[in-house]
Amino acid sequence: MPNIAQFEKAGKPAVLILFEDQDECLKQGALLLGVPHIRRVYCSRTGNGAEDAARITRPLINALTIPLTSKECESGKWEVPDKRVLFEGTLDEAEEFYERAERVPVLGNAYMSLYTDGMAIKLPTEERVQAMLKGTSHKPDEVITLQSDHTPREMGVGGKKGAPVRFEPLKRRATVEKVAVNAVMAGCRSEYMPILLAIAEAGGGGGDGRGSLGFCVTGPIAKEIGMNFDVGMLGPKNQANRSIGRAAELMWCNLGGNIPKVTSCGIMGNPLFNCFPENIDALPPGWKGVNEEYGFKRNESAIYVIGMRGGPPGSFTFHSTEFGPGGYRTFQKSGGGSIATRLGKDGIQGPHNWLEYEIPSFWAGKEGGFNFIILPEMAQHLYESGFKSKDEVYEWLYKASFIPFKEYKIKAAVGWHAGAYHPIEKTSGKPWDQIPDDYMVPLVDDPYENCIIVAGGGEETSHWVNGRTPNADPAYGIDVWR
Amino acid sequence: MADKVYKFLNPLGIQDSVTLYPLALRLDRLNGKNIMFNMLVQVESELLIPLQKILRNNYPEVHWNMRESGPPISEDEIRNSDALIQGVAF
Repeated sequence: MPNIAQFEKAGKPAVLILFEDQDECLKQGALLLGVPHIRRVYCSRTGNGAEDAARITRPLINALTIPLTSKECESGKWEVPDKRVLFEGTLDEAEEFYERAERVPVLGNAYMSLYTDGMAIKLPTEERVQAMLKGTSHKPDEVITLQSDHTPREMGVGGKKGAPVRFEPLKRRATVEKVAVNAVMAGCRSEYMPILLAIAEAGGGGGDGRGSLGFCVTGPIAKEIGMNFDVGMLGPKNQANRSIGRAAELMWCNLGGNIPKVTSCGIMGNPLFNCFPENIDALPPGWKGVNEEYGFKRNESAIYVIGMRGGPPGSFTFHSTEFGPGGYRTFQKSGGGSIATRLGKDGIQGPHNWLEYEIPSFWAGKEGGFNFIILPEMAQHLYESGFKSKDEVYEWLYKASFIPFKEYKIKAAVGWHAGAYHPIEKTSGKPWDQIPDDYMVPLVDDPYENCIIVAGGGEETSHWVNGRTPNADPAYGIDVWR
Repeated sequence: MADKVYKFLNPLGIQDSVTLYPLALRLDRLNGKNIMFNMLVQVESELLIPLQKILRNNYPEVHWNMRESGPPISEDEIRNSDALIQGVAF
Protein backbone atom coordinates (compact mmCIF):
# COMPACT_ATOMS: atom_id res chain seq x y z
CA MET A 1 0.00 0.00 0.00
CA PRO A 2 2.67 2.63 0.77
CA ASN A 3 3.95 2.16 -2.80
CA ILE A 4 0.67 3.42 -4.17
CA ALA A 5 0.81 6.59 -2.09
CA GLN A 6 4.44 7.19 -3.03
CA PHE A 7 3.58 6.99 -6.71
CA GLU A 8 0.48 9.18 -6.49
CA LYS A 9 2.23 11.82 -4.39
CA ALA A 10 5.08 11.83 -6.91
CA GLY A 11 2.54 12.68 -9.63
CA LYS A 12 2.51 9.19 -11.14
CA PRO A 13 -0.80 7.36 -11.53
CA ALA A 14 -1.31 4.04 -9.80
CA VAL A 15 -3.96 1.35 -9.60
CA LEU A 16 -4.49 -1.58 -7.25
CA ILE A 17 -5.73 -5.09 -8.06
CA LEU A 18 -7.66 -6.52 -5.16
CA PHE A 19 -10.62 -8.64 -4.14
CA GLU A 20 -13.86 -6.71 -3.83
CA ASP A 21 -14.46 -7.98 -0.30
CA GLN A 22 -11.23 -6.26 0.79
CA ASP A 23 -12.29 -2.91 -0.63
CA GLU A 24 -13.38 -1.23 2.61
CA CYS A 25 -10.08 -2.14 4.28
CA LEU A 26 -8.14 -0.87 1.28
CA LYS A 27 -10.04 2.41 1.35
CA GLN A 28 -9.21 2.85 5.03
CA GLY A 29 -5.55 2.12 4.34
CA ALA A 30 -5.53 4.58 1.45
CA LEU A 31 -7.13 7.26 3.62
CA LEU A 32 -4.42 6.83 6.25
CA LEU A 33 -1.81 7.26 3.51
CA GLY A 34 -3.46 10.47 2.30
CA VAL A 35 -4.78 9.13 -1.03
CA PRO A 36 -8.39 8.19 -0.21
CA HIS A 37 -9.59 7.98 -3.82
CA ILE A 38 -7.01 5.54 -5.06
CA ARG A 39 -8.29 3.67 -8.12
CA ARG A 40 -8.98 -0.01 -7.71
CA VAL A 41 -9.82 -2.94 -10.00
CA TYR A 42 -11.39 -6.07 -8.57
CA CYS A 43 -10.39 -9.60 -9.45
CA SER A 44 -12.18 -12.82 -8.60
CA ARG A 45 -11.47 -15.17 -5.71
CA THR A 46 -12.92 -18.14 -7.56
CA GLY A 47 -12.83 -17.54 -11.31
CA ASN A 48 -10.29 -18.92 -13.77
CA GLY A 49 -7.09 -16.88 -13.43
CA ALA A 50 -6.34 -16.42 -17.14
CA GLU A 51 -9.94 -15.46 -17.93
CA ASP A 52 -9.97 -13.05 -15.00
CA ALA A 53 -6.69 -11.52 -16.18
CA ALA A 54 -8.19 -10.94 -19.63
CA ARG A 55 -11.28 -9.38 -18.05
CA ILE A 56 -9.40 -6.85 -15.90
CA THR A 57 -6.76 -5.81 -18.43
CA ARG A 58 -8.77 -3.00 -20.00
CA PRO A 59 -10.08 -1.65 -16.66
CA LEU A 60 -6.49 -1.47 -15.41
CA ILE A 61 -5.38 0.56 -18.40
CA ASN A 62 -8.48 2.75 -18.04
CA ALA A 63 -7.58 3.41 -14.40
CA LEU A 64 -4.24 4.80 -15.54
CA THR A 65 -5.55 6.84 -18.46
CA ILE A 66 -9.13 8.09 -17.92
CA PRO A 67 -8.99 11.68 -16.62
CA LEU A 68 -9.67 12.39 -12.96
CA THR A 69 -13.11 13.23 -11.63
CA SER A 70 -13.58 16.36 -9.57
CA LYS A 71 -13.73 14.23 -6.40
CA GLU A 72 -10.40 12.62 -7.24
CA CYS A 73 -8.86 16.10 -7.52
CA GLU A 74 -9.87 17.06 -3.98
CA SER A 75 -7.28 17.72 -1.27
CA GLY A 76 -7.60 18.67 2.37
CA LYS A 77 -7.16 17.24 5.83
CA TRP A 78 -8.78 14.31 7.61
CA GLU A 79 -9.19 15.08 11.28
CA VAL A 80 -10.90 13.12 14.05
CA PRO A 81 -11.39 15.13 17.26
CA ASP A 82 -10.30 13.42 20.46
CA LYS A 83 -12.61 14.18 23.37
CA ARG A 84 -11.51 13.05 26.83
CA VAL A 85 -15.10 12.90 28.10
CA LEU A 86 -17.18 10.95 25.62
CA PHE A 87 -20.54 11.11 27.39
CA GLU A 88 -22.19 12.84 30.32
CA GLY A 89 -25.36 11.49 31.86
CA THR A 90 -26.84 8.94 34.22
CA LEU A 91 -25.63 5.35 34.44
CA ASP A 92 -28.68 4.13 32.54
CA GLU A 93 -28.15 6.67 29.78
CA ALA A 94 -24.46 5.84 29.56
CA GLU A 95 -25.17 2.12 29.36
CA GLU A 96 -27.39 2.74 26.37
CA PHE A 97 -24.77 5.02 24.80
CA TYR A 98 -21.76 2.71 25.18
CA GLU A 99 -23.60 -0.41 24.11
CA ARG A 100 -24.84 1.03 20.82
CA ALA A 101 -24.17 -0.94 17.67
CA GLU A 102 -24.43 -0.24 13.96
CA ARG A 103 -25.27 -2.49 11.07
CA VAL A 104 -22.30 -3.07 8.78
CA PRO A 105 -23.35 -3.65 5.15
CA VAL A 106 -20.21 -5.59 4.12
CA LEU A 107 -20.85 -8.03 6.97
CA GLY A 108 -24.31 -8.90 5.73
CA ASN A 109 -25.77 -6.09 7.83
CA ALA A 110 -24.56 -7.71 11.04
CA TYR A 111 -24.46 -5.47 14.10
CA MET A 112 -21.05 -4.28 15.25
CA SER A 113 -20.67 -2.53 18.59
CA LEU A 114 -19.29 1.00 18.55
CA TYR A 115 -17.39 0.89 21.85
CA THR A 116 -17.49 -2.66 23.18
CA ASP A 117 -16.58 -6.19 22.14
CA GLY A 118 -20.28 -6.97 21.87
CA MET A 119 -20.74 -7.77 25.57
CA ALA A 120 -21.99 -5.57 28.39
CA ILE A 121 -19.24 -3.47 29.98
CA LYS A 122 -18.45 -1.78 33.24
CA LEU A 123 -19.03 1.91 32.51
CA PRO A 124 -15.84 4.03 32.50
CA THR A 125 -16.77 6.85 34.86
CA GLU A 126 -14.01 9.34 35.56
CA GLU A 127 -13.86 8.06 39.16
CA ARG A 128 -13.45 4.41 38.14
CA VAL A 129 -10.74 5.32 35.66
CA GLN A 130 -8.90 7.31 38.33
CA ALA A 131 -9.05 4.28 40.63
CA MET A 132 -7.72 2.07 37.84
CA LEU A 133 -4.79 4.45 37.34
CA LYS A 134 -3.64 3.77 40.90
CA GLY A 135 -2.24 0.50 39.52
CA THR A 136 0.64 2.29 37.80
CA SER A 137 3.06 5.10 38.62
CA HIS A 138 2.84 6.36 35.04
CA LYS A 139 1.02 9.63 34.42
CA PRO A 140 -2.46 9.47 32.83
CA ASP A 141 -1.50 11.68 29.91
CA GLU A 142 1.68 9.75 29.09
CA VAL A 143 1.56 8.50 25.52
CA ILE A 144 2.21 4.76 25.22
CA THR A 145 5.69 4.33 23.79
CA LEU A 146 8.09 1.44 23.40
CA GLN A 147 10.05 1.03 26.62
CA SER A 148 12.89 -0.76 24.79
CA ASP A 149 13.92 -1.51 21.20
CA HIS A 150 11.73 -4.12 19.55
CA THR A 151 12.59 -5.91 16.32
CA PRO A 152 9.34 -6.04 14.36
CA ARG A 153 7.47 -9.29 14.93
CA GLU A 154 4.72 -8.45 12.45
CA MET A 155 4.01 -5.76 9.87
CA GLY A 156 3.84 -2.38 11.55
CA VAL A 157 4.67 -3.66 15.04
CA GLY A 158 8.02 -2.78 16.58
CA GLY A 159 10.59 0.00 16.54
CA LYS A 160 13.05 1.93 18.66
CA LYS A 161 12.72 2.74 22.35
CA GLY A 162 10.63 5.87 22.83
CA ALA A 163 8.68 5.51 19.60
CA PRO A 164 4.94 5.99 20.07
CA VAL A 165 3.00 2.76 19.73
CA ARG A 166 0.66 2.78 16.76
CA PHE A 167 -2.47 0.79 17.44
CA GLU A 168 -3.53 -1.06 14.33
CA PRO A 169 -5.44 -1.10 12.09
CA LEU A 170 -5.95 2.69 12.13
CA LYS A 171 -2.47 3.51 13.47
CA ARG A 172 -3.86 5.47 16.39
CA ARG A 173 -1.96 6.48 19.52
CA ALA A 174 -3.07 6.09 23.12
CA THR A 175 -2.34 7.40 26.57
CA VAL A 176 -2.04 5.54 29.86
CA GLU A 177 -5.50 6.90 30.72
CA LYS A 178 -7.06 5.47 27.58
CA VAL A 179 -5.65 2.05 28.45
CA ALA A 180 -7.21 2.47 31.90
CA VAL A 181 -10.58 3.36 30.33
CA ASN A 182 -10.53 0.12 28.35
CA ALA A 183 -9.38 -1.75 31.47
CA VAL A 184 -12.41 -0.50 33.41
CA MET A 185 -14.71 -1.49 30.57
CA ALA A 186 -13.20 -4.99 30.46
CA GLY A 187 -13.73 -5.54 34.19
CA CYS A 188 -10.06 -5.43 35.22
CA ARG A 189 -8.65 -4.59 38.64
CA SER A 190 -6.11 -1.80 39.14
CA GLU A 191 -3.32 -4.26 39.97
CA TYR A 192 -3.53 -5.59 36.40
CA MET A 193 -2.48 -2.21 34.99
CA PRO A 194 1.24 -3.00 34.52
CA ILE A 195 0.27 -6.09 32.48
CA LEU A 196 -2.27 -4.11 30.48
CA LEU A 197 0.23 -1.37 29.74
CA ALA A 198 2.75 -3.97 28.56
CA ILE A 199 0.06 -5.41 26.29
CA ALA A 200 -0.60 -1.87 25.06
CA GLU A 201 3.13 -1.44 24.40
CA ALA A 202 2.87 -4.60 22.30
CA GLY A 203 0.20 -2.87 20.21
CA GLY A 204 -2.80 -4.10 22.17
CA GLY A 205 -4.72 -7.08 20.88
CA GLY A 206 -4.57 -5.95 17.27
CA GLY A 207 -1.10 -6.96 16.19
CA ASP A 208 -0.70 -5.85 12.58
CA GLY A 209 -4.41 -4.96 12.54
CA ARG A 210 -5.80 -8.43 12.01
CA GLY A 211 -5.73 -9.45 15.66
CA SER A 212 -5.70 -13.11 16.58
CA LEU A 213 -2.97 -12.88 19.16
CA GLY A 214 -2.51 -14.76 22.38
CA PHE A 215 -0.93 -13.25 25.49
CA CYS A 216 1.06 -15.18 28.07
CA VAL A 217 2.21 -13.61 31.34
CA THR A 218 5.65 -14.88 32.29
CA GLY A 219 7.13 -14.02 35.69
CA PRO A 220 6.03 -13.56 39.27
CA ILE A 221 3.28 -11.00 38.70
CA ALA A 222 1.00 -13.81 37.49
CA LYS A 223 0.86 -15.29 40.98
CA GLU A 224 0.82 -11.88 42.68
CA ILE A 225 -2.49 -11.06 41.03
CA GLY A 226 -3.90 -14.56 41.37
CA MET A 227 -3.98 -15.71 37.76
CA ASN A 228 -5.04 -19.27 37.08
CA PHE A 229 -2.23 -21.31 35.50
CA ASP A 230 -3.87 -24.68 36.20
CA VAL A 231 -6.98 -26.54 35.08
CA GLY A 232 -9.27 -24.24 33.12
CA MET A 233 -6.75 -21.46 32.60
CA LEU A 234 -8.21 -20.83 29.14
CA GLY A 235 -11.78 -21.01 30.44
CA PRO A 236 -14.02 -18.87 32.64
CA LYS A 237 -13.99 -17.96 36.36
CA ASN A 238 -10.63 -16.24 36.86
CA GLN A 239 -10.99 -12.48 36.68
CA ALA A 240 -7.40 -11.77 35.67
CA ASN A 241 -7.14 -14.39 32.93
CA ARG A 242 -10.43 -13.41 31.38
CA SER A 243 -10.53 -9.64 31.86
CA ILE A 244 -6.94 -9.04 30.74
CA GLY A 245 -7.65 -11.00 27.57
CA ARG A 246 -10.83 -9.00 27.11
CA ALA A 247 -9.02 -5.70 27.66
CA ALA A 248 -6.52 -6.66 24.92
CA GLU A 249 -9.42 -7.16 22.51
CA LEU A 250 -11.04 -3.88 23.57
CA MET A 251 -7.74 -2.13 22.88
CA TRP A 252 -7.83 -3.62 19.38
CA CYS A 253 -11.41 -2.40 18.90
CA ASN A 254 -11.17 0.99 20.57
CA LEU A 255 -7.55 2.10 20.54
CA GLY A 256 -6.91 0.53 17.14
CA GLY A 257 -10.33 1.02 15.53
CA ASN A 258 -10.92 -2.57 14.46
CA ILE A 259 -14.13 -3.24 12.54
CA PRO A 260 -13.94 -6.60 10.77
CA LYS A 261 -13.90 -6.32 6.97
CA VAL A 262 -14.15 -2.52 7.23
CA THR A 263 -10.85 -1.55 8.80
CA SER A 264 -9.16 -4.94 9.15
CA CYS A 265 -8.87 -7.93 6.84
CA GLY A 266 -8.73 -10.98 9.06
CA ILE A 267 -10.28 -14.40 8.70
CA MET A 268 -12.16 -16.15 11.51
CA GLY A 269 -11.01 -14.20 14.52
CA ASN A 270 -9.69 -15.52 17.77
CA PRO A 271 -11.34 -18.12 19.99
CA LEU A 272 -8.75 -17.54 22.72
CA PHE A 273 -10.42 -15.09 25.10
CA ASN A 274 -8.03 -15.39 27.99
CA CYS A 275 -4.61 -14.11 28.79
CA PHE A 276 -2.85 -16.99 30.57
CA PRO A 277 0.25 -17.33 32.72
CA GLU A 278 3.30 -19.52 32.45
CA ASN A 279 3.75 -21.71 35.53
CA ILE A 280 7.34 -20.70 36.20
CA ASP A 281 7.52 -22.66 39.46
CA ALA A 282 6.71 -25.87 37.60
CA LEU A 283 9.59 -25.67 35.12
CA PRO A 284 11.96 -28.66 35.27
CA PRO A 285 15.42 -27.91 36.69
CA GLY A 286 17.54 -25.92 34.26
CA TRP A 287 14.66 -24.99 31.98
CA LYS A 288 14.33 -21.26 31.39
CA GLY A 289 11.10 -19.37 31.73
CA VAL A 290 9.90 -17.55 28.63
CA ASN A 291 10.90 -14.32 30.40
CA GLU A 292 14.48 -15.62 30.68
CA GLU A 293 14.48 -16.69 27.03
CA TYR A 294 14.04 -13.01 26.20
CA GLY A 295 16.70 -11.64 28.55
CA PHE A 296 14.57 -10.95 31.60
CA LYS A 297 15.49 -12.40 35.00
CA ARG A 298 13.42 -15.19 36.56
CA ASN A 299 11.98 -12.68 39.03
CA GLU A 300 11.07 -10.15 36.34
CA SER A 301 7.71 -10.22 34.61
CA ALA A 302 6.93 -9.87 30.93
CA ILE A 303 4.12 -10.36 28.50
CA TYR A 304 4.84 -12.82 25.68
CA VAL A 305 2.84 -12.26 22.51
CA ILE A 306 1.88 -15.40 20.63
CA GLY A 307 1.57 -14.31 17.05
CA MET A 308 0.64 -16.00 13.85
CA ARG A 309 3.91 -17.03 12.25
CA GLY A 310 3.34 -19.75 9.70
CA GLY A 311 -0.40 -19.51 9.93
CA PRO A 312 -3.11 -17.52 8.27
CA PRO A 313 -3.26 -13.97 9.62
CA GLY A 314 -6.46 -13.22 11.44
CA SER A 315 -7.11 -16.77 12.56
CA PHE A 316 -5.82 -18.38 15.73
CA THR A 317 -6.05 -22.13 16.06
CA PHE A 318 -5.16 -24.55 18.83
CA HIS A 319 -4.06 -28.06 17.97
CA SER A 320 -3.90 -30.71 20.63
CA THR A 321 -2.41 -34.11 21.26
CA GLU A 322 -3.85 -37.01 19.35
CA PHE A 323 -3.60 -39.39 22.31
CA GLY A 324 -5.97 -39.82 25.23
CA PRO A 325 -4.62 -39.05 28.72
CA GLY A 326 -5.05 -42.66 29.84
CA GLY A 327 -3.04 -43.90 26.87
CA TYR A 328 -0.34 -41.41 27.71
CA ARG A 329 -0.11 -42.57 31.34
CA THR A 330 0.01 -46.23 30.31
CA PHE A 331 2.84 -45.42 27.91
CA GLN A 332 4.87 -43.62 30.56
CA LYS A 333 4.10 -45.93 33.50
CA SER A 334 4.62 -49.33 31.91
CA GLY A 335 5.39 -49.00 28.19
CA GLY A 336 1.92 -50.29 27.42
CA GLY A 337 -0.55 -49.31 24.71
CA SER A 338 -0.35 -48.05 21.15
CA ILE A 339 1.97 -45.14 21.84
CA ALA A 340 4.63 -47.52 23.11
CA THR A 341 4.08 -49.85 20.17
CA ARG A 342 4.48 -47.08 17.60
CA LEU A 343 7.66 -45.89 19.27
CA GLY A 344 9.12 -49.36 19.85
CA LYS A 345 8.95 -49.01 23.64
CA ASP A 346 6.68 -51.97 24.38
CA GLY A 347 7.04 -52.99 28.00
CA ILE A 348 9.67 -50.33 28.74
CA GLN A 349 8.72 -48.08 31.64
CA GLY A 350 9.14 -44.31 31.06
CA PRO A 351 9.92 -41.53 31.24
CA HIS A 352 9.89 -41.37 27.45
CA ASN A 353 10.05 -38.52 24.97
CA TRP A 354 6.35 -38.31 24.12
CA LEU A 355 6.91 -35.61 21.50
CA GLU A 356 8.19 -38.37 19.22
CA TYR A 357 4.66 -39.73 18.97
CA GLU A 358 3.34 -36.34 17.83
CA ILE A 359 5.84 -35.74 15.04
CA PRO A 360 3.58 -36.98 12.19
CA SER A 361 0.79 -34.61 13.21
CA PHE A 362 2.91 -31.51 13.82
CA TRP A 363 3.65 -30.78 10.18
CA ALA A 364 0.85 -32.70 8.50
CA GLY A 365 -0.22 -29.69 6.47
CA LYS A 366 2.22 -26.88 7.07
CA GLU A 367 5.72 -25.83 7.90
CA GLY A 368 7.17 -23.84 10.76
CA GLY A 369 7.69 -24.07 14.49
CA PHE A 370 5.13 -23.99 17.26
CA ASN A 371 4.34 -22.47 20.62
CA PHE A 372 3.69 -25.49 22.82
CA ILE A 373 1.65 -25.31 26.00
CA ILE A 374 2.84 -28.28 28.02
CA LEU A 375 1.58 -29.58 31.35
CA PRO A 376 4.13 -29.59 34.18
CA GLU A 377 4.41 -33.40 34.48
CA MET A 378 4.75 -33.78 30.73
CA ALA A 379 7.59 -31.22 30.77
CA GLN A 380 9.10 -33.21 33.62
CA HIS A 381 8.91 -36.39 31.50
CA LEU A 382 10.82 -34.62 28.74
CA TYR A 383 13.42 -33.51 31.28
CA GLU A 384 13.76 -37.01 32.72
CA SER A 385 14.00 -38.54 29.27
CA GLY A 386 17.11 -36.47 28.60
CA PHE A 387 16.24 -32.87 27.74
CA LYS A 388 18.09 -30.82 30.32
CA SER A 389 17.07 -27.51 28.78
CA LYS A 390 14.39 -26.12 26.52
CA ASP A 391 17.12 -25.43 23.97
CA GLU A 392 17.69 -29.17 23.66
CA VAL A 393 14.01 -29.73 22.95
CA TYR A 394 14.00 -26.98 20.34
CA GLU A 395 17.05 -28.51 18.66
CA TRP A 396 15.48 -32.00 18.75
CA LEU A 397 12.27 -30.69 17.16
CA TYR A 398 14.28 -28.95 14.46
CA LYS A 399 16.18 -32.13 13.63
CA ALA A 400 12.99 -34.18 13.68
CA SER A 401 11.44 -31.87 11.10
CA PHE A 402 13.72 -32.87 8.20
CA ILE A 403 12.00 -34.51 5.22
CA PRO A 404 13.07 -35.21 1.60
CA PHE A 405 12.74 -32.21 -0.71
CA LYS A 406 10.31 -34.12 -2.94
CA GLU A 407 7.89 -34.20 0.02
CA TYR A 408 8.70 -30.69 1.16
CA LYS A 409 7.83 -29.10 -2.15
CA ILE A 410 4.28 -30.41 -2.10
CA LYS A 411 3.53 -28.85 1.29
CA ALA A 412 0.72 -26.27 1.19
CA ALA A 413 2.69 -23.16 2.03
CA VAL A 414 5.90 -24.01 0.25
CA GLY A 415 5.70 -20.82 -1.84
CA TRP A 416 6.33 -18.74 1.26
CA HIS A 417 9.37 -20.69 2.32
CA ALA A 418 10.91 -21.83 -0.92
CA GLY A 419 9.87 -18.83 -3.02
CA ALA A 420 11.20 -15.32 -3.39
CA TYR A 421 11.20 -14.68 0.36
CA HIS A 422 13.83 -17.39 0.83
CA PRO A 423 15.56 -17.91 -2.52
CA ILE A 424 18.31 -20.04 -0.96
CA GLU A 425 17.86 -23.35 0.84
CA LYS A 426 19.47 -22.64 4.18
CA THR A 427 21.18 -25.91 5.04
CA SER A 428 22.93 -26.28 1.67
CA GLY A 429 23.34 -22.63 0.70
CA LYS A 430 22.04 -23.50 -2.78
CA PRO A 431 19.09 -22.07 -4.74
CA TRP A 432 15.98 -24.19 -4.36
CA ASP A 433 15.97 -25.23 -8.02
CA GLN A 434 19.32 -26.95 -7.51
CA ILE A 435 18.13 -29.11 -4.61
CA PRO A 436 17.79 -32.82 -5.48
CA ASP A 437 14.58 -34.61 -4.57
CA ASP A 438 16.21 -36.83 -1.96
CA TYR A 439 17.96 -33.97 -0.13
CA MET A 440 16.68 -33.62 3.42
CA VAL A 441 15.34 -30.15 4.29
CA PRO A 442 13.87 -28.89 7.58
CA LEU A 443 10.22 -27.99 7.99
CA VAL A 444 11.29 -25.59 10.72
CA ASP A 445 13.62 -22.82 9.56
CA ASP A 446 15.23 -22.36 12.94
CA PRO A 447 15.05 -24.30 16.24
CA TYR A 448 13.86 -21.12 17.95
CA GLU A 449 10.68 -20.97 15.91
CA ASN A 450 9.58 -23.30 18.70
CA CYS A 451 8.72 -22.12 22.19
CA ILE A 452 7.61 -24.11 25.23
CA ILE A 453 5.26 -22.63 27.81
CA VAL A 454 4.74 -24.83 30.84
CA ALA A 455 1.20 -24.29 32.07
CA GLY A 456 -2.16 -25.93 32.52
CA GLY A 457 -3.15 -28.91 34.60
CA GLY A 458 -5.31 -31.98 34.79
CA GLU A 459 -5.36 -34.73 32.21
CA GLU A 460 -2.24 -35.30 30.12
CA THR A 461 -2.64 -33.50 26.83
CA SER A 462 -0.61 -30.73 25.28
CA HIS A 463 -1.60 -27.93 22.95
CA TRP A 464 0.22 -26.03 20.29
CA VAL A 465 -0.32 -22.99 18.10
CA ASN A 466 1.78 -21.30 15.45
CA GLY A 467 5.36 -20.59 16.42
CA ARG A 468 7.48 -17.52 16.82
CA THR A 469 9.86 -15.60 14.60
CA PRO A 470 13.47 -16.08 15.67
CA ASN A 471 15.28 -12.77 16.27
CA ALA A 472 11.99 -10.89 16.59
CA ASP A 473 11.08 -9.63 20.00
CA PRO A 474 7.59 -10.56 21.18
CA ALA A 475 8.31 -10.11 24.93
CA TYR A 476 7.48 -6.81 26.66
CA GLY A 477 8.55 -5.97 30.18
CA ILE A 478 5.78 -5.53 32.73
CA ASP A 479 7.77 -4.18 35.68
CA VAL A 480 8.65 -0.98 33.83
CA TRP A 481 4.93 -0.20 33.80
CA ARG A 482 4.39 -0.66 37.56
CA MET B 1 -28.47 7.52 42.72
CA ALA B 2 -29.86 6.41 39.39
CA ASP B 3 -30.29 10.06 38.37
CA LYS B 4 -26.80 11.14 39.34
CA VAL B 5 -24.89 12.51 36.35
CA TYR B 6 -21.40 11.21 35.68
CA LYS B 7 -18.66 11.92 33.17
CA PHE B 8 -17.69 8.87 31.13
CA LEU B 9 -14.30 8.76 29.45
CA ASN B 10 -13.39 8.00 25.88
CA PRO B 11 -11.87 4.56 25.12
CA LEU B 12 -10.97 5.40 21.50
CA GLY B 13 -7.39 5.90 20.36
CA ILE B 14 -6.01 9.22 19.17
CA GLN B 15 -6.20 9.58 15.40
CA ASP B 16 -3.50 11.86 14.00
CA SER B 17 -4.67 14.15 11.23
CA VAL B 18 -3.84 13.12 7.67
CA THR B 19 -3.10 15.45 4.76
CA LEU B 20 -5.15 14.34 1.77
CA TYR B 21 -3.72 14.55 -1.72
CA PRO B 22 -5.45 14.61 -5.10
CA LEU B 23 -4.70 11.70 -7.38
CA ALA B 24 -1.94 12.18 -9.90
CA LEU B 25 -2.96 13.25 -13.38
CA ARG B 26 -3.55 10.20 -15.56
CA LEU B 27 -1.36 9.28 -18.52
CA ASP B 28 -2.20 11.14 -21.74
CA ARG B 29 -0.90 8.23 -23.85
CA LEU B 30 0.65 4.80 -23.36
CA ASN B 31 3.23 4.89 -26.13
CA GLY B 32 6.75 4.88 -24.68
CA LYS B 33 5.60 4.99 -21.05
CA ASN B 34 7.38 3.01 -18.34
CA ILE B 35 4.78 1.17 -16.29
CA MET B 36 5.77 -0.88 -13.30
CA PHE B 37 3.74 -4.02 -12.59
CA ASN B 38 4.50 -4.92 -8.98
CA MET B 39 3.47 -8.20 -7.42
CA LEU B 40 3.14 -7.78 -3.69
CA VAL B 41 3.90 -11.40 -2.98
CA GLN B 42 5.77 -14.06 -4.86
CA VAL B 43 3.50 -17.03 -5.19
CA GLU B 44 2.27 -19.09 -8.09
CA SER B 45 -0.44 -16.58 -8.96
CA GLU B 46 -3.17 -17.86 -11.25
CA LEU B 47 -3.99 -14.25 -12.03
CA LEU B 48 -0.91 -12.07 -12.03
CA ILE B 49 1.34 -14.28 -14.17
CA PRO B 50 -1.12 -14.48 -17.11
CA LEU B 51 -1.94 -10.82 -16.61
CA GLN B 52 1.69 -9.89 -17.18
CA LYS B 53 1.63 -11.81 -20.45
CA ILE B 54 -1.60 -10.17 -21.66
CA LEU B 55 -0.34 -6.69 -20.80
CA ARG B 56 2.87 -7.29 -22.73
CA ASN B 57 0.98 -8.69 -25.74
CA ASN B 58 -1.83 -6.14 -25.82
CA TYR B 59 0.28 -3.08 -25.08
CA PRO B 60 3.66 -3.61 -26.77
CA GLU B 61 4.13 0.16 -27.01
CA VAL B 62 4.56 0.27 -23.20
CA HIS B 63 7.90 -0.44 -21.52
CA TRP B 64 6.77 -2.90 -18.87
CA ASN B 65 8.80 -3.38 -15.73
CA MET B 66 7.46 -6.65 -14.34
CA ARG B 67 8.66 -6.55 -10.78
CA GLU B 68 8.43 -9.44 -8.37
CA SER B 69 8.22 -9.08 -4.64
CA GLY B 70 11.52 -8.32 -3.03
CA PRO B 71 13.14 -5.21 -1.57
CA PRO B 72 10.91 -2.14 -1.20
CA ILE B 73 10.48 -0.03 -4.33
CA SER B 74 13.29 2.54 -4.35
CA GLU B 75 13.08 6.27 -5.05
CA ASP B 76 15.02 5.63 -8.27
CA GLU B 77 12.48 3.05 -9.41
CA ILE B 78 9.66 5.51 -8.78
CA ARG B 79 11.55 8.28 -10.60
CA ASN B 80 12.10 6.02 -13.59
CA SER B 81 8.46 4.90 -13.78
CA ASP B 82 5.48 6.72 -15.23
CA ALA B 83 2.79 4.61 -13.53
CA LEU B 84 2.19 1.63 -11.28
CA ILE B 85 -0.10 -1.40 -11.36
CA GLN B 86 0.05 -3.10 -8.00
CA GLY B 87 -1.22 -6.62 -7.44
CA VAL B 88 -2.47 -6.88 -3.87
CA ALA B 89 -4.65 -9.91 -4.54
CA PHE B 90 -2.97 -13.07 -5.81
